[in-house]
Amino acid sequence: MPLATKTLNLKDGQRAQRKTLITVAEWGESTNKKRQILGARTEDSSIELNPDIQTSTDILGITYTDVNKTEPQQSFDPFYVMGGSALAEYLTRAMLKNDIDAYANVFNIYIITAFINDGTSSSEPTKYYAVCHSGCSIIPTAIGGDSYTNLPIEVHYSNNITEGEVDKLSDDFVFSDGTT
Amino acid sequence: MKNEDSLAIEKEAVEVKPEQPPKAVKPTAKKLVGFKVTERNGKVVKSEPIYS
Repeated sequence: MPLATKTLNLKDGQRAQRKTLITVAEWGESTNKKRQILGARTEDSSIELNPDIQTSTDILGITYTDVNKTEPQQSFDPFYVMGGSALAEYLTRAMLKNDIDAYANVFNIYIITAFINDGTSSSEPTKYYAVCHSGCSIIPTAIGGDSYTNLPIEVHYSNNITEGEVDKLSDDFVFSDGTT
Repeated sequence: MKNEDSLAIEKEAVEVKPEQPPKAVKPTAKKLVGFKVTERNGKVVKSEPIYS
């Protein structure tokens, strides 16, 4: 289904649950990448746009606001080192070796909005609106903690965006921009 | 002379459930081994899972 036909699939006044806004990291060799849905054990995480804003007021008293750029960022703290977390292993190895190139500008990050979709009236399987930021960084900022090993991370989005759709909400989704 | 309650208990006790046939073993699900990503002009245009 075309991206334009996807709509906010919520009743009037119904709020979208947080779990329907999904961030997925993808990394590795181009023909055999790995993926991980981010957010396990993280209780609060938002995509912060960090806009660079410039305001000016003309002699008529009208204020204009220019947005020069945004530098989106999302923190995951705690991000525990857990069994089954391929990303935790990858980042732990990289940070302990101080291999900055291993985590700078090498991730594709998908933002999936499960609440914007084709709806149930479509004859085809439901697909969900998503964007992919290519060449993002996931920076481990610390490792340690008290009872369990925490590896807090910052996701820095590239703004090199492809708009598209995914066919499911598990990590084995197919992302397509609709041209392939 | 047995009363109705004891009859009910006796009936319940002798009721034997039929033996369940062994469940059919499902073929092993394909294992997800990675993802194939197609890029154009530095942007991801398609990303799909690869199964073994």
